[in-house]
Amino acid sequence: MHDDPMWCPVAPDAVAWREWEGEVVLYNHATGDTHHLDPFGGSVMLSLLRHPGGIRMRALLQEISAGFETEPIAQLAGDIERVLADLARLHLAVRTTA
Amino acid sequence: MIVGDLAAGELRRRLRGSGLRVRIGPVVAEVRSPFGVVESAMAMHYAAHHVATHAEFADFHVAVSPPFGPRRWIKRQSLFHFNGNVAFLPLAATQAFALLEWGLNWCISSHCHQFLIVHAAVLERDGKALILPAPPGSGKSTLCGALVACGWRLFSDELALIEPNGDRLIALPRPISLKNESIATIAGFWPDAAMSPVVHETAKGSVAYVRPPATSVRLAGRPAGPGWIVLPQYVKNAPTELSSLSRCEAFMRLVDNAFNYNVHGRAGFDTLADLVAASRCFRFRYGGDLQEAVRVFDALAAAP
Amino acid sequence: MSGDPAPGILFEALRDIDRLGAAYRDWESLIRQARAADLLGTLAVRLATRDLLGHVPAAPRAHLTGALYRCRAQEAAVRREVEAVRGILQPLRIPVILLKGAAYVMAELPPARGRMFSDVDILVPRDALPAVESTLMLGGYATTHPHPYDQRYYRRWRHELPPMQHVKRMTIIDVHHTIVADISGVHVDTAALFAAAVPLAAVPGMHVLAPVDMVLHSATHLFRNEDLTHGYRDLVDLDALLGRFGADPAFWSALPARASQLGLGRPLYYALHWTSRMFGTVAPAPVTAAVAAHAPPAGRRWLMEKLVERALRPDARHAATLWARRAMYVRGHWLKMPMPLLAWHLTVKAFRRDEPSALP
Repeated sequence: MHDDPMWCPVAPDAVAWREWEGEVVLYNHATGDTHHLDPFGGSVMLSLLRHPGGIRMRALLQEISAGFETEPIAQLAGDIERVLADLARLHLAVRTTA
Repeated sequence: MIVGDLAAGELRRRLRGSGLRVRIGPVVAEVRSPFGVVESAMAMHYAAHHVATHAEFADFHVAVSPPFGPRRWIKRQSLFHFNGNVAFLPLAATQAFALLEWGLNWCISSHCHQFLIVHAAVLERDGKALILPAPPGSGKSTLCGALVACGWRLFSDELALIEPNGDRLIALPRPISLKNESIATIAGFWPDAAMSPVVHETAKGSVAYVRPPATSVRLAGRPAGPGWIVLPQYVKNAPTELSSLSRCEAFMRLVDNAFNYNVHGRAGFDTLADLVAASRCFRFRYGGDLQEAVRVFDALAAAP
Repeated sequence: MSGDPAPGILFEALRDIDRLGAAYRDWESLIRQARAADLLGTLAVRLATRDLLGHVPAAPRAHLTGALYRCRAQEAAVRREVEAVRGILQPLRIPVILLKGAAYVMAELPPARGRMFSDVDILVPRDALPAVESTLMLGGYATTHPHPYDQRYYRRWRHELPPMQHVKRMTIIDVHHTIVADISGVHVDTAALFAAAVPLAAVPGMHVLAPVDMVLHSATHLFRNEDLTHGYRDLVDLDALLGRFGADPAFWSALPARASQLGLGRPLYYALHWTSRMFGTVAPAPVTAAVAAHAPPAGRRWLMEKLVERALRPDARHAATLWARRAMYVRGHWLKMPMPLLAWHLTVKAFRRDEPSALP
């Protein structure tokens, strides 16, 4: 069966964010850190925050591709995975086994 | 009563005795010092500031005085005291006023947590604040001096005091500190500036102070709302250029230059975000033509 | 000289916070004293708890609310740091006891509210020390005292590794393996402390000292410590612990025996004596009687009384207090290591000039 991992935002209630001109700044009270995300990273993060209970990779891919239509799907998936790995490292996102 | 109204000898008596209490914007500082250089600098730079009585609450009790021991007399040093404790390593006695000013910056930025405090110059025009957040070497102080010379109201050359919930900026008018080449530049641009003698060989090079205009001091109680956030960059002989700056980048620059962002937590994020959202944000590069620089900012102020 | 804070104002305020109502006039002196004693946050919390902050005039109130913001932010930072340390040390599967401020915060004890705790202190079994040190280093902590002399001093002669600092977060962790320095002749049974330690539900793998041990540790830290600059503040904390734990009679009945068992009777005697003198905190009579056996000899008692009272007063500028602090500092050092070694250590410390400039 194809792997379709679920990703959740870490502590969504602890996060405050603003979006300007496509970019996102974000404060995470759980870590005390403040981040500046580029438009792609920002849209992935905001997608996660829209689904605090978690969102599967396939659904995430669908949401993001709507905003980045020109990219081929395979490349998009790879880019999303890289961003998720970065967000995990920053304690903003976590991959669950659900 | 303002400092300039004190009878002859009274300023000295207070500095060497029970303390001179000065209102500086939202705070009252009680200053003590036996140094003649501090007395003359206070007389020059704080002439328009209100004297507070001992019945009024003083926020900070500071002193700049010589240490005990041989350095009290030989190769005289000065020490900064806050609330009875020595705060920094000693400096040469000739630098006593600079030490006082740096010490006051430290007091305010370390303790005034009713504000979000950002390391930036702030000026005002028509009720709107021009904020120049910038690390040393960016030309912020030179620009600040030039703008004040051309009628912008001085809020502060170092400390932006931002009220959370409302994003008003609060004025803290104090002498403008100039370093190294900036001193000659401003002296040339603003011949009427009241500038104290240059002090050499400080940790920051040569330092001089310019008296804040009396109107800036008199109007200190009047806050400003968001206006413009501009990141200055001095590049020698480069053409003057105002370019756009993304709000996210302006925001991160404020965060990076904030003294007490962590103290405010989420409220700090919201305060700076609201301020950025309500401000127009730019990058500004200039190469030393202060006339043109001032024209650019005047045009910003005049724009709808 | 006008402007000197009148002594005793802070004492009185912390003894009876309700006197700071709308009619109170000494805010300037009180805030100065509180700041000097590192108790501004504690004062602010007590006023907030009693709903008195609204009565404070705007100018002094700004300092109090500022202190509250700082303490709240600091508490959040301590929680994050403890969680980070827990994660780093978890693979070692050793018991870890949080000490002092970090313990007060994680166990939600009264001294936590309003105080600024800067370091995280942990107690680990002595034989786990090398593993803990290398694991912390892998987790991003580096030693703060690279000078070999200091390394020896901390490791051999005190009860801890030299403080370690996280390279990115700049937070400090102090790793102890006993609560009293070995070389001073008093040996505290660390295994007994671990046996009685209380696990923290919110932080698996981490514990705090049992209430009697926490009080004894606080007393020992205060009365054997070399630096009494914050003596009054530490006494306030100790009194708050007695107030919380003292509601349980079992705490009082266990306290004297545990003090004897651990060899900490003398610090306990001082702790009860001084919390009674300063705050009116009264231990049950049987406890006071049992602890009287640990009182110092009459001659030394007089000197200690004078020294400690002077040193505890939070007025840094008073000349007599400074002298008393210095004497306590020497006494504290003396308790930690034998005289000849002490003299050498102080001499080396005086000559080293590698302190960084504090200029802004």
